[in-house]
Amino acid sequence: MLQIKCPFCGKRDQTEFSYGGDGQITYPALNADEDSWHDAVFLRQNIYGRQIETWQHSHGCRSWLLVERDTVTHEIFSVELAHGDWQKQVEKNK
Amino acid sequence: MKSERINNVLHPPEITEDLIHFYWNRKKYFARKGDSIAAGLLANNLNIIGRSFKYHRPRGVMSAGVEEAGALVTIGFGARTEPNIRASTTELIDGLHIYSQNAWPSVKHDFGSILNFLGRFFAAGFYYKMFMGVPPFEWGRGTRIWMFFERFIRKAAGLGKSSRLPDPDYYEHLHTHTDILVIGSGPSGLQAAISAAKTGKDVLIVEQDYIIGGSFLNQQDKKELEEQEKLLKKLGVTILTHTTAFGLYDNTTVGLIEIIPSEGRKDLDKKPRQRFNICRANNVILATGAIERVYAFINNDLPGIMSVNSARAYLNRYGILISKNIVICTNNDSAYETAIELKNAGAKVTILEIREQIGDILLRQISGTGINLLLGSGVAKAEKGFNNSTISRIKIVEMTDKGWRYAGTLFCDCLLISAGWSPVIHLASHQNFPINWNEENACFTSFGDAKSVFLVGSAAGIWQQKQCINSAKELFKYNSKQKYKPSLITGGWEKPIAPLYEIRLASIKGKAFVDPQNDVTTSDIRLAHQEGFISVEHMKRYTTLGMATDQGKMGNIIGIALMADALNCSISQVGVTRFRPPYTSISLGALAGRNRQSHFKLIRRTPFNKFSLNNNAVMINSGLWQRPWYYPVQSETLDSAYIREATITRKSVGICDISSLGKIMIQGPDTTEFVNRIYTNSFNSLPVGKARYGIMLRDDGFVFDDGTTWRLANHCYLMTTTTNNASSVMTKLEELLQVRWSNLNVQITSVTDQWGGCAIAGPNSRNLLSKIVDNPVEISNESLPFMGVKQISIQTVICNIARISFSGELAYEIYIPSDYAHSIMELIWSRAQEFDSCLYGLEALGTMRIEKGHVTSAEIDGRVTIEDIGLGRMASMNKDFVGGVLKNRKALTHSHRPQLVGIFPKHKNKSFKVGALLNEAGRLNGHPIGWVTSVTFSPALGHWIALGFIEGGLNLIKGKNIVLSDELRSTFLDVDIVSPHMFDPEGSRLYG
Amino acid sequence: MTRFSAWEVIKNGFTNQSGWSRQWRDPQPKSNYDIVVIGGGLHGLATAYYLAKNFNLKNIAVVEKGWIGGGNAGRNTTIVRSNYMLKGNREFYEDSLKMWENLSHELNYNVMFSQRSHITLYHTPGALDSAARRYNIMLQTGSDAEIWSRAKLKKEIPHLNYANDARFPIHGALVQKRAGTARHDAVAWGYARAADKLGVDIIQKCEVTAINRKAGKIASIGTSRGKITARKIALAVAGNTSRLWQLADLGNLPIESHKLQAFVTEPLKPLLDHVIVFGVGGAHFYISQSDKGGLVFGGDIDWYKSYAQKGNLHIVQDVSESALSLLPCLGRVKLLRHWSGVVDMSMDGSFFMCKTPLDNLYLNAGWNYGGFKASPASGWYFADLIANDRPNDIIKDHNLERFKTGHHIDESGAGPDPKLHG
Repeated sequence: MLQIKCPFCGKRDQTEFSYGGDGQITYPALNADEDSWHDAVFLRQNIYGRQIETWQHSHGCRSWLLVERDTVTHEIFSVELAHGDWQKQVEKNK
Repeated sequence: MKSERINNVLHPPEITEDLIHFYWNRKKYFARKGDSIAAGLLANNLNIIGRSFKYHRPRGVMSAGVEEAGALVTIGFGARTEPNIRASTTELIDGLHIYSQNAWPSVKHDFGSILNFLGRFFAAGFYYKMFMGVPPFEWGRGTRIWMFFERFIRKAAGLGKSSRLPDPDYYEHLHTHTDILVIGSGPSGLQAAISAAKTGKDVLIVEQDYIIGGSFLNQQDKKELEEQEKLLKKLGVTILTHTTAFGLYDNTTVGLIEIIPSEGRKDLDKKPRQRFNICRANNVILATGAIERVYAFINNDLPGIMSVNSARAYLNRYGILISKNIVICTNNDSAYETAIELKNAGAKVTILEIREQIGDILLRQISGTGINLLLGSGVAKAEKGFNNSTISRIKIVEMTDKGWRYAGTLFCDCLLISAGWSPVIHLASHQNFPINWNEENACFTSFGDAKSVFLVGSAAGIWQQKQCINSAKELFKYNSKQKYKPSLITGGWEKPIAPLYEIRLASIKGKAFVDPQNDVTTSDIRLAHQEGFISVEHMKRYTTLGMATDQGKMGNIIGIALMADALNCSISQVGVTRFRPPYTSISLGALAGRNRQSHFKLIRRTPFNKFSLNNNAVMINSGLWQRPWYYPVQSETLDSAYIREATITRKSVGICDISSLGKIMIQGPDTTEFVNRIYTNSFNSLPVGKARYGIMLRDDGFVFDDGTTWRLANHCYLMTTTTNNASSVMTKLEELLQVRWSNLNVQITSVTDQWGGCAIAGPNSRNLLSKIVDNPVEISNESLPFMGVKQISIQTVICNIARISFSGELAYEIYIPSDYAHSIMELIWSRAQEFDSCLYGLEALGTMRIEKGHVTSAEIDGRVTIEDIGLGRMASMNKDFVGGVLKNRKALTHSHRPQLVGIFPKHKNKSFKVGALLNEAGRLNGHPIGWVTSVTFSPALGHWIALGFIEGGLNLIKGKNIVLSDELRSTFLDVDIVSPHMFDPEGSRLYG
Repeated sequence: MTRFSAWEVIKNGFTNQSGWSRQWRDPQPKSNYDIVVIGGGLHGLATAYYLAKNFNLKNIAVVEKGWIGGGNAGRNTTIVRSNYMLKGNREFYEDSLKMWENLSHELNYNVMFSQRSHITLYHTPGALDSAARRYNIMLQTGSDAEIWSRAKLKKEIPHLNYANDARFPIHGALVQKRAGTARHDAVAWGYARAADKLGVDIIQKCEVTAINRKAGKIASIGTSRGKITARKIALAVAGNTSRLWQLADLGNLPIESHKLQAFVTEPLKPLLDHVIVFGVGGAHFYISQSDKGGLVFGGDIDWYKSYAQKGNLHIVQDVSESALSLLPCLGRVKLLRHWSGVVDMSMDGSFFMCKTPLDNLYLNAGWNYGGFKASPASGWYFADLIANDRPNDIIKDHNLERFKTGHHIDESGAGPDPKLHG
């Protein structure tokens, strides 16, 4: 079973989390053109190997996370909050 | 074969005195406490225990371990029947009922054994070549002929028979965390646990057997085991027996199944039968041992043939001398110790040594013992006796320059084989760790991942006990990088093994088994090769080798070796199939634990649950929620109840539990901007104290959800969602705020469970409400106009009230803090008695919203656009919102898209159902042009009505005759397509 | 090659099985073919077979990196059904089911298609009604469907969970009687043998390592067994589609690879005579009994993207809970094996069978959960697409452009999140 180290809650079982999707996607502005929305919503790099992906700690602090994980071995290399500003806040309070 | 109990100094009296009884096929027998089922059967000379899968050949005990492929039995009876139990590893409990399986009328005289004589026709894959058409030339078409044969094939196949009654016992789950998990409690496992514990780590050791010791148990000298056990306890190591580590999963998570002994238990119903223990370990040590192999020769499946080591287990652990006339055939050093012990116990022992030479030390050990040693010899065929089905003589062969040569017959009633050892690397294979063929020791070995999973002892291919123990000790001496140090040395015999997988002579005919449970023979493997199934995966699948309950623990390597031979390549080139969990079969009950029956999925109840039940509500599952469906008065049916409820509500007043709607509190300086981006319509202009209906789209432009959002304060909104989408909307909003729009300063909180929601609807709703609220002025038409929102106190409890309507009546939604919900609801209901009033459920709620043409998840099914449901005007042209771009794609804006309409039957007395299709008259084949999504009898209109979708909507369908067809329920009727706003389209009733 | 029949089986019983030859050859790859199909799974093999049979093409190769039928072909739960309702899907899967009905005869290989009824259970009257649209469309487009009441279910399958304290009591079921199960390996081998007989080269252990482009076309492919040129190249490599797509430097696809687990119990005497689907309250579970006696079942994907053919424990637990809730008698029945395969999950839950930005490259991908049952029709229509260089009407909407235009084919309505299309 995967175990994900949530920056807030510590190392927890994958069953506490929900997989989001590809973390490398940059969603375009709400008024961007149809093509860029098409590419962001429908196309996937579908990486074989290390990828950044989003997870939500849905049965915990409900943070969205950026997880770097190998899609072949399932090894997890890093976990950070998707919300960059929050991370700064956390560090400031340390 | 004639076994006997031996009582000597090796067997402590406390065991010999402990007599227990059991029933074998309903007949009573006696055994000793501590026996396995196999030991109990052997001690009573019950040698034919089962029948094989395909040929129904007699099967006896073949081992003393998990590799058992012969002695499979059914235990228990009635609802507690458990089929396919390995007799070799299951503890014999006093009073146990044991039955043979796959045999009729009896295991001794099995009708199915006729198949053995037809065996020549049942080569590997024969069923792929026939049964498809009328024999013999397979005439015909379709599947009928196959399905005729299939019935008989299914009956013949299958092993044990399972009960059809619900399992009366229960199971539980446990979660364990440990530094180090040691799997296996043999010499290496015990040492690993001790060494690990000495480094200060938290250690758990698990053992599948019902006592610890592993191969120690099979030895005469138990002193070392006792010492290690003492040390283990002193060091505080947790020991779990009866516990199988069945699978290694990601992150060194190991699945454990613990069987809780039922011995002497009178409280079967109160304690779990098994425990599924999910163990998260930082390091896993596989001290899983090795399994002794046999090799292929003719009739190598006869009862009376087993592995050498198992005879040792029966002798030293159970005190059973398996036979007095034993032949041992071996190709390695490991069999000799057993041979000497058997000889000393009183058996006549002959060793057929495949190798032409053995080491001096071994020679010295057996010289003078009276053991007859034949070098360069082996067994080519076993034969059964005339009046029994067990082995009575063997044909032996000797090695010459030209290969094996027949060398005569030898009488014996037990044949023990040791053709090498296979380390148990299954768990390493589960995680796809590298597995290599070790040429010198003729076995597959693995080193784990050398990071967190290690193998020690014979699991690592080390054969001598001392070296095994050493490998465990060495592991915990850290290397310079503070990492564990696995041993890289394997082997350890005086003279190397002479690899042996088959002895075959052209002159000796018969079946030689590779997988004795699935009846896979050497000729099946050769046929697979002949037919081109040369990959090990193909061979396995074509012959079914290794797919029986033992998963090929004994036979796989023989199969691989035979394939290598046929292909003229090495075993490492052929490779091994990947082992899959579980290592040994585990019961589904344990995996499910307590999450079954009413505990299968959690139940969500609203704060009004008790109130509803007190008032005779019939509840219905709605997702995980239980919601009031209708409130029958006396013996009312669903139909009459909901019609009454809707009628009274429209006439006077009704009260409905709407707590399951999702409620999300949205707060922060950027809240309005956020809500504006989420919904298609603008919330910029929404004043504090007002609610607005909103539609949100998915990124792809299709409708996601709808609901009202209430502006409670300048930077505070309460959003409601549909029951269905409550959690996905919440998740989506969080994703948007945290991943995409982290610059927005907004906090959102789900408050669904914090508020009980009830709707009070109908012309008298304000009158009722004014009798409840502390200050009735606050809810006057002026103070609380349509779509107005207020915090109002009821019995001093502050509630949120909005004047919004799903029913189309003058109506209010009241959100009461959950803790007060029940008592305030009782108050509302008691005051409602002054009016003609009712409680109404989900069904009447549906009736009224269908009459009004309001959509729910029945219409918003993930495939509709905002235009499809007739709300296109709600998509703002002046701002950007989620889904705003992709909603403009060609197919989403097509004028022929199915659109929301109302449906009336032409003959007003006709009823129909959801899921019916809409077709143009005369065109009832092919894809329909529409379908029905919601149906109700409308008390307001006096006939059945429906919502549905039809291509092009009301405008394009004008003038066409539409037929509603429901072939499934044989309903066909002419319908009129009307506006979805079927009742009070101008909305005059909203204002009371 | 010997024709398979009871006659031959008996004959060979007397001749020590000497009459059976290789079911397919083991040829060396040639340097040039008219058509190369990449992927020796069911779809690739079926495609090659129908190319040879329907279009009389001779110079065809199937290249497979491992062994034929070693991917999802041999890892699925073998269910064959056609209960799809959307245009395109409906006709396609119905055609496939029709082809299944005669497949053993077509291939002269017993694929053991057992039309034992596919039963989808429902737990409220409303749920049954909502599903009725799908089954009505099936009836109206020439398939079969019926409703079974709780009483009828009780009679047919008495050991399902009809207890009153069940979390989701059974209300009734929608049934497709012509649906059922088949022997997955036999389908792969049957197509391979039949294709080989028509001259198709089936080349195993031949991994594609490079796709070389020239002027909007594929000039050649590099493989572990040498370079191969071909007029047309067809991709049928479920699970690995994106990887090969990117080898051809074609960018991203509307596909994610996920892993789907499957489970089998120890063999038992007949216990379950139908295929049963149980999906309620977030659970998703399907079960049938193989002819060998093992109960074969499965549930959801593992919920996160993965190329690993290994499953994790939470799904094992989930499916066991469903198993016990559906069939309370399974408590003492033992799980024998569980494994997993990598599936192409697409953005609308439907497949792709279409031309590509490269002139001579054809794509067959995105089968989600549905690849096994689709095999015959997939081969048929893909062969048709390759040979005629234009899609048949039935598959014309199954293209890569559908997300640009908005013509999603979304049977579940789950939207553009691949993991939700279970």
